[in-house]
Amino acid sequence: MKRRTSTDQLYIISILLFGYYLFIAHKLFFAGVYSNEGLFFAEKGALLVEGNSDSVKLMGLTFPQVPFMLTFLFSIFNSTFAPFVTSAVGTAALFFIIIRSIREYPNSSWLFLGVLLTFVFHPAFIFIAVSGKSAYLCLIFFYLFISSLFRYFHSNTSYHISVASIYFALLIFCWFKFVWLTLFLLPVIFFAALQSMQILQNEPLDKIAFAFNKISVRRKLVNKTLAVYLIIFLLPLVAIFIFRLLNLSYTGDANYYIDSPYANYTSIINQTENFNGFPDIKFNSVFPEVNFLITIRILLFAPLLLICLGMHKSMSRNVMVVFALFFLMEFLKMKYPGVYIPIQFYALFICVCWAIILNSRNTRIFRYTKQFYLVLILLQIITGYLLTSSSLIPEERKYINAITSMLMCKPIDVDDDKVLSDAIKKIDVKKGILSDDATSYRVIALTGSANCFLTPGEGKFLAAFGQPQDNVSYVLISKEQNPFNGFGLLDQHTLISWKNKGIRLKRVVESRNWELYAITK
Amino acid sequence: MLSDHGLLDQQDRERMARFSQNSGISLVKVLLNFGYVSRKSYQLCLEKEGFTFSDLRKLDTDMSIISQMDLKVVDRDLVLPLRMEGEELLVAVADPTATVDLLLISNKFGCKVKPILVSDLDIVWLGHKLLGGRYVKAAVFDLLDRDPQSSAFITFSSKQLVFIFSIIALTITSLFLSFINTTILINILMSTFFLIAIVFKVFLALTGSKLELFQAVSKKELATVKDADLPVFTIQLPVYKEDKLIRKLIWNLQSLDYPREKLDIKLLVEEDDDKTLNAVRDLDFPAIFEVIVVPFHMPKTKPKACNYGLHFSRGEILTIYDAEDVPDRDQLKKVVTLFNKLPANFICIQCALNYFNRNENLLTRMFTLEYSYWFDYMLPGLGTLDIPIPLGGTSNHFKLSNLLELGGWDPFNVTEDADLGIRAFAKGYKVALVNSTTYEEANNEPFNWIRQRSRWIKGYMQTYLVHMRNPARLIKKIGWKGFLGFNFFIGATPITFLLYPLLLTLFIVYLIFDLKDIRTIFPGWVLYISIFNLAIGNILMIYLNMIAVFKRRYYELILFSIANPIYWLMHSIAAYKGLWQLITKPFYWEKTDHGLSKVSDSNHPKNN
Repeated sequence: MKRRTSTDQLYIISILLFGYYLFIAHKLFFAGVYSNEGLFFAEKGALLVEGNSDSVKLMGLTFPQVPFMLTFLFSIFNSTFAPFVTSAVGTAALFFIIIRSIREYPNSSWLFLGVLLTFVFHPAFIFIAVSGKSAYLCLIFFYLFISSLFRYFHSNTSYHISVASIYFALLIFCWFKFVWLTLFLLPVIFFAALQSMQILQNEPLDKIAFAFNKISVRRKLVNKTLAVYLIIFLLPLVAIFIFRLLNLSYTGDANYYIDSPYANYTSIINQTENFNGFPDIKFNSVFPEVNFLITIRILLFAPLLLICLGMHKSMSRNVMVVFALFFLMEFLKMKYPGVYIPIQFYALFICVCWAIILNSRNTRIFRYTKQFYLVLILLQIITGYLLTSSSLIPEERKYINAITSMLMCKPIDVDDDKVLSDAIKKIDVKKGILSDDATSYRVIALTGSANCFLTPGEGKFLAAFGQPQDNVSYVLISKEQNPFNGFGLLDQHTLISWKNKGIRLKRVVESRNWELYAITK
Repeated sequence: MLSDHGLLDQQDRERMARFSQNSGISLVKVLLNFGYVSRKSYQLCLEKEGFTFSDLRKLDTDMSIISQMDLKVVDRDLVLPLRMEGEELLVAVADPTATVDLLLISNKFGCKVKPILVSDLDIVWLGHKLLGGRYVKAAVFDLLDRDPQSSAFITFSSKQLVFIFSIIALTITSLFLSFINTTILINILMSTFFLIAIVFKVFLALTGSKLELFQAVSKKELATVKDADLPVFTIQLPVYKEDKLIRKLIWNLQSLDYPREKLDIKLLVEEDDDKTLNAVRDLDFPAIFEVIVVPFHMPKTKPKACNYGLHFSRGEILTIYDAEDVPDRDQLKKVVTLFNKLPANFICIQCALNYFNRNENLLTRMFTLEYSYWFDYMLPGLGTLDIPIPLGGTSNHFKLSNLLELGGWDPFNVTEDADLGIRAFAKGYKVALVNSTTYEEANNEPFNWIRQRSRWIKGYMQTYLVHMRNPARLIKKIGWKGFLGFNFFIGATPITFLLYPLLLTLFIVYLIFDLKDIRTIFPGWVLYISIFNLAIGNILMIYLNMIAVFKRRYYELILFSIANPIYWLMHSIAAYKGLWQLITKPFYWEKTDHGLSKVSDSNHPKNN
């Protein structure tokens, strides 16, 4: 009965948190602050419901798949706002998952307070909850994956390892770059296999030496390491392989889900907004996001790691998991040198801290460090604010600035695309607007309906592209200063070529990045 | 006499006498069937004392005399009057000193008796052959008479035939009207069904894997079990031409940790199976089982033999082992302990099955992968979700009274155990699983494997047809959850095997030949769904196998699970064979040859 009440309380707190996030998301949304990912999902959802595009391509190849499908479920009432509701629900769900798992912990009230403070005040978590991005799902699946892995280390059960594998597969379908974790967890798995073997030696190095010199033990160690590795990573890797096969068979390009701007918004964003070249911000000149300093940035972002490393000094395999994550971050910077690392990669370290604390058998330390823990939580919120408000990714900065402006009752900059979409709503579209949603998905999403747009996913697009005067009433052209210019088919070059063909176009609406032309006879 | 020859000591004699008195079994039966003296030594000893053994099978018999005897008395006392010889009644005896029994016969027939010494096995053989008709008829027809709806005597009911032919007619008509659309629809339905069936299995496996750390009976609980409190445990060993395995069988049974006097082990031998009978006769060490000869009657199936054996079983709990089975030493005690812990409606306890010769060849490895996920994950998953459990072929332990109430096994069903699990569930009874394993011999020969598997798949088809004769009634009995579980587990299993080669062939033909005609039935979206279903289905099955052997710590087998799609093709061959037999000879029992393995069961972990 006690547990039942307790679960009910957790539900109520989570619902309240959801309400809190929804309030902020609603405020920001209607004040004209949006994220690219949220609008990308909203546009694809609208195309799926209203457009004449290929549904299998939209539903089956839009990436990341899992967040898109989840967002689509929420798009029954308002497709444009759906991603923002979904991220609020998802972050509240993440909160619920974490606090439910800490109930059994000896000092759960202290832990709970820390979690609550973080979810309510930490700018990264607020950003994740209100921005409509899929980061919440990355955190959920990552937290579940790491927790299951720790539980497997503890209990050696196939249930936890197989569940970990399923979570990891889902995680990759939320953020593909996590696939590289398969490389960095190999030493951890080897170490865990070694520890689970009954070898008399106590020191890890002695154990390794013994295992390598004794044929039967060596064979067993190799078999077990390979077995654990396969069980965890085979499913996600093969799932990605199959997904690539589907991409290949359906579009002729195995990397369609990564490279095509019609399937994945990051294919353009990572070459524009999130790409190196933005003016430096003071904070970043001290701690720039370059190799070897990322670890420092992470420690600044998640000082809670200190307490975790302290708790795990006797459990080297768990500490190795944290190091594997550090290596992953360093690797990502090496592998994609021009692309800034988004906030969820930093935030996941905070979630990992809770997973580590909960799965640590050394709970006694926490009894003496709980005040220190709370201080670290508060410090973490402050460093979180510093890092997020000076983020190298403009979208993250924009949100934090908007929230700050909202708190200080200052005016918030309305998104330029909102101005354009409002104008489109007032136009009698007749035959439709020719637009390339590789770049114009924000405008389409904010218009709230995909009905009036003719996009490349539709069969008629090519005909309309060649003969717009016969097929559409309007064309949406990207301006030179549009950061996405050059990534779509409908730009100033196209406009000139049409004009040269004698097609008469009249500009009816203009914004900072876009021009809407009416085709006149 | 035997003591004089050093075959028995005082302690043995006292134990025998006590046991004979308590159980009502004749002394000679106790002597030869409960591990005291081997038949060879017994015969040698009597011959040294001047007795001569006759060959009972060569002697003339008079049915009018024999039919006056009760088979159970003959079986118990090993005394069988044969015919009148002048004024004397010729009586076959296994114990020349059984004067009390002879006196009783003399009184019964009102004449002098002339004993003739024969082998106890011959008395058993002749007694069952001539007097077992009533019992064997009951073994075959009891369920059919009591509950014809549950018997597989009729394979297809008329309604089922109408339904099947209607579907075929509808499909053919649709193909004529719109070939492409109908083919696309069939293709989508097949591949989606395939995926759903497999996803259901994954769900079951994950549910089952949660129980990994749960121990139904702990070592601590076992330590508190007192021998005096243990009930009599019947073990049925149905065999047919398993002469090579008899020695192994005795060694395996002897290692069971259960008081010998409380074991009631019955070796069920078919009437025409002289090979096995002679192997028992030729044993040069004491046997620890009674032989029951099953008189000839069609169908010649294992459930019929087991039903027949029920008439002679004394135990409170009954189990079945195959001849080559190596159960965990403490299995019987665990079962008794668990029965004591469980509510009364749990009437059966199933143990996990696995293989001792798993590393013999690819087939045995694949078989081990399959059995590991079946018994360690699927069945616990079904149990947790309260879905009927199709029992495994052996090592299922029943409360005998409840088994009799259910009507025993269906002799017309070739997977009688699976069918019994469903019937028990429909009556509100439950099946539990215990943390004990019986190691069997994995089939190591492909044709033998296909024979065995075709029988299993045919049995699943039979079971499905029997219980789906009236779906509404089935839902009423087992509820929606049980009904869906039954359909996806029992029904879907043969269907997925039948569909698999079709889907795979279509897909491979599409990939390799890229024929225009094939392409028309694979428009882009159909191809997407088909690839998704086929690929995900296969990978999930591979994955399931991997996790299962991971639990058993058979790490060296994990990579072999990649060969699962090929193994599935073997299943498909067996499924088509089973389907053919379901139509042509539904009750035919495909005999699986045992004892082919070159790997000794002494290598399995229990004995290490």
